[in-house]
Amino acid sequence: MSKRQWPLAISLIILVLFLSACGNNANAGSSSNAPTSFTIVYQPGLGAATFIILKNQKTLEKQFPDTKIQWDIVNSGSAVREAVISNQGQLGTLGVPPFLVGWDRGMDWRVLLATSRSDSWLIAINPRFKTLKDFGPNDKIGVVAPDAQQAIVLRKAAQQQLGNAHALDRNLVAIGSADGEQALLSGQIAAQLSGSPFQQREIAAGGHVVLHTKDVFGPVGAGLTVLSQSFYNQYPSFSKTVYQDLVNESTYVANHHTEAAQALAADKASGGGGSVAQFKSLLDDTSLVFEKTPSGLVAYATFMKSIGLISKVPGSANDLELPTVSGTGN
Amino acid sequence: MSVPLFRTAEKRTFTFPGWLRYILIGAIFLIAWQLYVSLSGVSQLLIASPLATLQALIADFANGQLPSAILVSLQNLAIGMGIGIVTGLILASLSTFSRFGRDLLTVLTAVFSPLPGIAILPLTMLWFGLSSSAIIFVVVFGSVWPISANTDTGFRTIGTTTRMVALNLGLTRLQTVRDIFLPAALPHILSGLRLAWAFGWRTVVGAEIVFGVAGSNGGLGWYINNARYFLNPPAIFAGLVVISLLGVLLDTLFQFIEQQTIVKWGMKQAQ
Amino acid sequence: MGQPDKEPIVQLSHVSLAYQHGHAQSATILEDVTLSIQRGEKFMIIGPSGCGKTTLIKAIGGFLKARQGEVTVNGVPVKKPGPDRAFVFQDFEQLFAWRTVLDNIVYALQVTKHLPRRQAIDKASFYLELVDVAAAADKYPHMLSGGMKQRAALARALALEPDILLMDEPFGALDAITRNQLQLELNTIWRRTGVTIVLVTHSIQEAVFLGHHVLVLSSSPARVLEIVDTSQAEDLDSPAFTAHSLHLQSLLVRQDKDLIREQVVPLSIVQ
Ligand SMILES: Nc1ncnc2c1ncn2[C@@H]1O[C@H](COP(=O)(O)OP(=O)(O)OP(=O)(O)O)[C@@H](O)[C@H]1O
Ligand SMILES: [Mg+2]
Repeated sequence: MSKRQWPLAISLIILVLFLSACGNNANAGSSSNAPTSFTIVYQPGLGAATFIILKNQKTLEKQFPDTKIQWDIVNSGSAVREAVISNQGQLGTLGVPPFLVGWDRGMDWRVLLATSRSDSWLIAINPRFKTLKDFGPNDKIGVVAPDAQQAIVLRKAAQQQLGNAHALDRNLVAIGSADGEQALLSGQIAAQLSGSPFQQREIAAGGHVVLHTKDVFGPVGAGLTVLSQSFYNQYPSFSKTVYQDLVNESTYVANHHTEAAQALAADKASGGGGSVAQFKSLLDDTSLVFEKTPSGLVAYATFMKSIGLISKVPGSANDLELPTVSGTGN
Repeated sequence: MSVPLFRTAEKRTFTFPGWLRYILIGAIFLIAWQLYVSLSGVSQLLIASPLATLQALIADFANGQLPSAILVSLQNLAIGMGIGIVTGLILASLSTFSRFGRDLLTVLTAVFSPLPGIAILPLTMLWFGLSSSAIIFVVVFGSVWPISANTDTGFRTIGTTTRMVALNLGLTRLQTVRDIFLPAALPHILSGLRLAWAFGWRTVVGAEIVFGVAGSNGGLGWYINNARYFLNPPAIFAGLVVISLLGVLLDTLFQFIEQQTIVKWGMKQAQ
Repeated sequence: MGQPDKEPIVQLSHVSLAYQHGHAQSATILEDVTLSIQRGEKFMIIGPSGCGKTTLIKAIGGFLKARQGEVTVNGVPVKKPGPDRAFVFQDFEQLFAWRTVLDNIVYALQVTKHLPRRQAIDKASFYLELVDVAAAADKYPHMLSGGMKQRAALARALALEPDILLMDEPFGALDAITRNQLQLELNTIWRRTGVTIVLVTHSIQEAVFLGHHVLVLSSSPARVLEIVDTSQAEDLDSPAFTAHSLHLQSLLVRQDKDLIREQVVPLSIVQ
């Protein structure tokens, strides 16, 4: 390459970089009342019931005929976060910790409402695992991601029972809930901490509970449905409608276990493989609570900061809430 | 660039020495990168600036995360390659000395070498569980074929005269392989090793990511993946920089080994 | 002038040679060769190109099994190659490229005579001195000229202190001046060591100048045409030298027209 061509080549590279950065803003569009497209990113499991019903009833599609509504299932809160950062999705549902990580790193997302709270179990097959003390360095524990709620609860439990929050870090394996179930049953991992309906199936296959998450942080930490502050500001009425729809569906699910169980059994977003009766009994379980108020935001943030996973703690839960739930959480 | 057959007595304009040109290109790239991040307004969550990357590098070197990740990855690579080299050399020797060995190598190479290492990872995870043995096995699997096939070619192309000298000296089989065949086939063996390590390095990092071993004993793939989980793009970039630099370093090591052996012995032209 | 003992060291009786390739056998290359070589003599083999000179010397070296008849060395049938019959090949690649000139010899001594390194170095240095390449002892073969490589190869063969030195056109690829120099040196070495030399050559001059006996082979399938006693013709200007040369030429003229043309020039420049 001759000397004269160098500046040309470099300017080309810079140009390409600039252009590629501009390609991402898909639905920034006009400032009408509703966006041209809206993607909802959620995770498999019992907590997806609200979204499955909302999707099946096509409520949003009817309310906003000009908006292209899309549904995406991903495996972890980290993946939800990435979808929102890259603007592949706008509404996300995820656990408290991955939400806090995003907030800590400067994402402008806030809580639209909470979804549901349930008790998750650390399940092992081998009877030699009775407490956390029984896990040796090679006994792997499956969680969906190292920043998932289960992983944080496990660290807190390690701190309480083993005296060191990082005592089990070497044991953690990031693995999707369904894959983790397989891995546990085939003996590739020693234990798995996921949620419903996976944990019930693991128990049915001979597993036993080593740890209840509700015993660690107390009855807080419901899943969150989040939206970016800027999106809310741009489409306030649209956002409020989405909020109201979700509240309605949540109430519906809470009061209509049979119909919800039917929807779950028919949808792969439920985590797969279950009869209507099985899902109904899961929904009937009193430890599953549908609630719209976020909880445990400050408690989780305080713990996560204390072990160096995030750098700041919100002054109050209100700092993390959109007007829909403003001032109600903790 | 073409090299003139005869150098005319033209007045040559001043040119920078090679290393300075490389550094200049690197510097221009870094400046462009920094300017792009600072001026384009791109989200810092999508692209980390060189400065942020450098900070992450320094911080994670200081707190021991990167050194331990590097160690784990290099260890996986070294153990895998070590086993791969020994197995490859044994297969090539068998192939040279017996008809059966030759057929065996032909069939095994034909069947297995087209398989990408990552593709057999799910299988090794079943066999070995989520341990580094699974990663090491994949590296062994990937390095055996290029090494044995190249070594075999190397052994086969050893000149008749060299073979006859070995016979004339009355060497034992072991002496023949160790003292004659290995050095004589070294150019081929080294190019096999080069293929093997480039493959192995990519595999180790890739497997560590697929593995998603979330503990603090993961390698560089784990480090990057973990940075992803904790939304830390500077650390992701730092991990990539380290992987790339280690690649350059290992390649330099190879060039050094070649320089000290086959180039010095006149079996390969210096570049 | 040294005279060979009247005691045969190599004997061939009714030997026929052919190459074996798997189960297929080539046409007969040498047929019904009977000869005996005396201990301490210089025995030359000459014949038309492609007639089987290399094949014959390889059989004495043990690289090739006789199809019929028997080859014996020191009264024992030859079964395989061994360092008691040191081989010097025509091509320049007979030195191990990965060892220095000195190390080539040291290695040969260590594996054949199990000498301790110190002693092997002393001996190697002695022979390098003898063939006049001591200055290149620490160089790698590729840095040497063709003549130096052949000297070094000769030194290695001599260092083995073999019963017989088997040389297949050792000077064939050298220029005339170097070639003459080496012929003179070989004579000197022979005088000092008394080793039996079997040497294949294309050059009538070389055969008459060096040899006590010259075996003339016919074209294929090669048979013994005549074994000429040239022990009295070492002086280039002597009438015997000229007479032998002319006799050999006339023997070969029917066999290989090219050989004559080739010989016209070298004869005149030898001084
Ligand atoms: N490995 C081999 N297999 C089969 N045939 C061979 C082999 N090597 C040589 N021959 C054949 O044997 C014959 C004699 O070959 P050889 O090399 O002994 O001839 P030569 O007298 O040494 O020739 P030159 O003077 O060219 O060196 C030739 O016809 C050659 O084609
Ligand atoms: Mg020949």
